[in-house]
Amino acid sequence: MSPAVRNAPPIAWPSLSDLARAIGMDLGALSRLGAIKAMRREKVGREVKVPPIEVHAFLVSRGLSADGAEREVEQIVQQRLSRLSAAADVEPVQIRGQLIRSTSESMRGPLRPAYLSDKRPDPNRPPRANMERLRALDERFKDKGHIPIEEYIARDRERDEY
Amino acid sequence: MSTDAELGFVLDAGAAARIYLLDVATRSVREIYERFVGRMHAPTMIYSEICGAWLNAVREERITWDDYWALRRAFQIDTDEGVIRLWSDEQLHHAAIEVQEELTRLYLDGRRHGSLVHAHDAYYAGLARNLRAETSDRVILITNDAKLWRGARALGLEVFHGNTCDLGIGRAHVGRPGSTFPEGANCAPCTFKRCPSTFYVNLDEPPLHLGSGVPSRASA
Repeated sequence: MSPAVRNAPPIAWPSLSDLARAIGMDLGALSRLGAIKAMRREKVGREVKVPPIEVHAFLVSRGLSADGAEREVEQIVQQRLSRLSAAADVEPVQIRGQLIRSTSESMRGPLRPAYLSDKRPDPNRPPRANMERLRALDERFKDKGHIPIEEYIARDRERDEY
Repeated sequence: MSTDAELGFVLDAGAAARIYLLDVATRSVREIYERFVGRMHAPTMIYSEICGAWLNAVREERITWDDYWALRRAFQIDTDEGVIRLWSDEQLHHAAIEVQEELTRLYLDGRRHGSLVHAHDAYYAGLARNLRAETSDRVILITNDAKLWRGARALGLEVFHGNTCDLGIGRAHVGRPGSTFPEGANCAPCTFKRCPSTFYVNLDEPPLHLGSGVPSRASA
């Protein structure tokens, strides 16, 4: 199994539905198998994912040849990985701008980076924490006493009017 | 808990606000802020939540409008420069709902957690879960909110309460600065002078939950 597939992130792992399709078994029946229950599982969105290496072992135990099982796993994971890299190329969301209608499609999918303005991090300059700016803020607020931010956040959540 | 995984942090509004405005949590969140540039994350709705809290301070005349703009600008610069990474809420709606559904199931099963977290908070927990799933990173949620802390623990997330302090007695404690703190209410804002606390977040060999104290039922 290729390192890319073996070390793929959980979002690219085969799902139980993939597994059911691969061996022509009903998903419900598959989920009840002891071998499946013993697998490490990661829930990603609505899908239950299982690690490629464990899927490979399971497929072999169900009668597939080692090569056949490997091809099956490689195909599923590589397909997901290619979709992921395509998603990584999408334009980040900028939250100040025209309203964009949400759809069930747009709400699914991998996390999408977002920015508050049209500025973007400079790829040639790694970001750094600006401690001088924080010290200037400390100086600015040094005589203000305690400002109960947590209480303000909690207060915003109280429903004192209906 | 994987020791090889990279460390990432999800900050809620209270924890992020304490980067810029001193309090007990500042010592720990600034340590993370300084060392984990680009590895601190939040959903975009943090912007309205954090600004709303600062605006409450303006309404109570604890800070001026100029102060507010300075805070808002500092946060925006950090997000523009990628020091704190924002993620679109759009892809988090389902995760937030799943968080609430799971906490409801736990409640009905009579196990571990008594109440739902606030809808805003479900997005922070959902982001921590999705980042963990999508990146395989070790993701720790940082919050100053006891309800979110308890909910996140019930969900099996790693979570650190920003107000963790050992009060100089060598035992991690969480709470509002007051009679139990070394300098009483003067512990807020925490200015570190004469502070007897020896608590620090060990970011070199981070313990589970970063060694978080356990908030009492009465703490915020």
